[in-house]
Amino acid sequence: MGTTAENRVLYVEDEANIRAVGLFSLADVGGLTVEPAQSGPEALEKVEAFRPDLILLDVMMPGMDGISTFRALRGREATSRVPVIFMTAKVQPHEVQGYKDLGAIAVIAKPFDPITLADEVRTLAGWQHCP
Amino acid sequence: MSVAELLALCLALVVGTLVGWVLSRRRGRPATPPAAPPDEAPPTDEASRLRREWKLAHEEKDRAIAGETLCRRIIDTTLDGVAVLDGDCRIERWNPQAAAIFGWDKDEAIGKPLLPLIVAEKSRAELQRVISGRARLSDTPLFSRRNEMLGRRKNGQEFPLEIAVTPLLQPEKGVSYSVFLRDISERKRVERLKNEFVSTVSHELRTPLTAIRGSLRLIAGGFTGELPAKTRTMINIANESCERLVTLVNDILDVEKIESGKVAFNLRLHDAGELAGKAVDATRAFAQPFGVEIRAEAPSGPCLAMMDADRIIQVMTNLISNAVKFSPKGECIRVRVTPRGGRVRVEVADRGPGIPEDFRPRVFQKFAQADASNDRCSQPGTGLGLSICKAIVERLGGSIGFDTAAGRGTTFWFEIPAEELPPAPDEPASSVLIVEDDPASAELIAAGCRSTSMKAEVASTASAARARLSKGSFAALILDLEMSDVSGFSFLREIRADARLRSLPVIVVTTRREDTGRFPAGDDLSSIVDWIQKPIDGSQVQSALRNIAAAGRDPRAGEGPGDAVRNYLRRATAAAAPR
Repeated sequence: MGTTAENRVLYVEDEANIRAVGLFSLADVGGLTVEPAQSGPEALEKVEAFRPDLILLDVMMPGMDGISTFRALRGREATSRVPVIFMTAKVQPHEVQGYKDLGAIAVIAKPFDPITLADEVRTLAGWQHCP
Repeated sequence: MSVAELLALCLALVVGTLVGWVLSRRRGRPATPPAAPPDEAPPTDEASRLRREWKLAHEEKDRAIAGETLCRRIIDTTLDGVAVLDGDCRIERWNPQAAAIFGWDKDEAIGKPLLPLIVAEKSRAELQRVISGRARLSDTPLFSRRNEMLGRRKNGQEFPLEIAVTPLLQPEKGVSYSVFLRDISERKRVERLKNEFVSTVSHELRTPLTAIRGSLRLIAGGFTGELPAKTRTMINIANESCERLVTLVNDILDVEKIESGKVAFNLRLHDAGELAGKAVDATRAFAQPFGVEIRAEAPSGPCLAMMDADRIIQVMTNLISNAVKFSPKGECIRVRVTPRGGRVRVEVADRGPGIPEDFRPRVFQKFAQADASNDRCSQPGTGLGLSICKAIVERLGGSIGFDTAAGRGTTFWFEIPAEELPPAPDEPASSVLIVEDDPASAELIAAGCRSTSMKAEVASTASAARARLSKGSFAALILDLEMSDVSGFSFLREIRADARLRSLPVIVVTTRREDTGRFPAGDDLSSIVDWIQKPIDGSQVQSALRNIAAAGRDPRAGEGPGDAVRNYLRRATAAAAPR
């Protein structure tokens, strides 16, 4: 299922510092093509132009939270099938199951490891890893 | 009257009084004073003695009545509810606080059996056990212990109740009980608030911590460029400290969640010996630089229990790493799993210095750490490890403890209720049908089945499988989803359409997600109860079959493996759908 062309990630995170670390980690360390967004509405604005292969979505955001953003994405034809990985501190097995039941492909725990974040994303999405 | 007759009368009176006095003392009732001696009696020595006896008896009675009154007043004005029960657990005394807590006034309570009046249905068995347990201790010095249960008021409202039961020894009456009752709703509310506060604070801490940790790791990992030596040293210090902080915050949240019951344990039937093996493997690398060997002793028999594998491994790993930290170099740590009378017991024994006497009561408390000079690990732990272990074990219905001797070492142990191995069914349907076209895989699966004493039959094509299914009856079906002649899913649909086979539990065998393109969307997958991943490993087969047996019997199996499979497949089909 993975092809080398898949590497476009829309990264949605409201906390500026965490977003900066995540961006560095995914792009500079991980070699992915990353577009940051700092809120649900901004993500929805950017998603169609950016055409991500995957969306990394923070759950706890003020205003429109991760779940609502996810639902909005699912509600749109153009974005309804883009795989989504949630990022959250809440990672009890039943909570993770809840996110997966909604339709996310996985959950990444916060605090995340910036050195391995891109690798983790690739594994969870079923993409090929860089040599 | 003659003097002689008078003397006889006085003597009789004295003797009578004395006898009456002695008798009533033995019965514990205040002495009833005799009628006053006639005033006309001449003031002889005997008469004075009579008066004295009479006065003493009166005083005795007054004291006894005053004592009883004081006692009753104390009981009636305690802040706790107090009930006194007879040997049959019927209420003999019921103070106003008990009436206030439960809503039953004295007349409604006296003479009634205690249990239905004060505790909710679900706590009755436990309270009965507590009381019976106390009765057996009637030979020993009196003591009482507090138990928390679900109480119930007259109006049906349930609330958290604390009970302390003390047996009362009354030689003439046999065993009776005093019961102290406390409505701890307020205390529970405050505990909950405290826990929520801790949780909120910890969550707030996590946000800046995520950023700090992330940036430090990137710098320390060299991803932002070469660092001058001194900078490198400082960054490493910051990085390590940050990791400890993250672990600490995670541990605090973990403990709070487990203790407040917010953690959902994924309970499945596991063999504790297997889990111990995994824990030992996981800690070997940690033990190596300490020069400490870890030896796992194979259990004498199966040690099955309903447990959350990850959490139990967490407990074992914690105990083992503690043992490693306190073991002298060159020593070895022994990990032992044994069945013990309806329970599974896990022991981690070290030959370290032992736990100092004054620390023993605090071992399982949060943040309690013994003298760190014995801790060979350069970084002390968070101080929460053992309290987390205790919380996990107790939530699983078990108990945890340790035995220690100064200079000889310490053994930490925990026990959890065991499950019986499901009996090998001797009805005809103790066979499993394996539908697999690769002979090597089929043999591996069959071997796994046989080790759980089930018979295994193999069908290598769909038509052979159909034939077998129509002729015999099976306890389970193990189906390779990737056979070459037919899609496992269409075969499954066939089975579900057949009324006779619809409830046959199915275990699916598959490789990784790469094949998800072949999964049809939207199938009803509810007959699938478990999933074995290739390459086949016998223990996966065993555990899948055991889980079928266990899930069939025990609704506590909770989130079953079937749900995990169903959701995985649902997600896989969603991902595979064309964009």
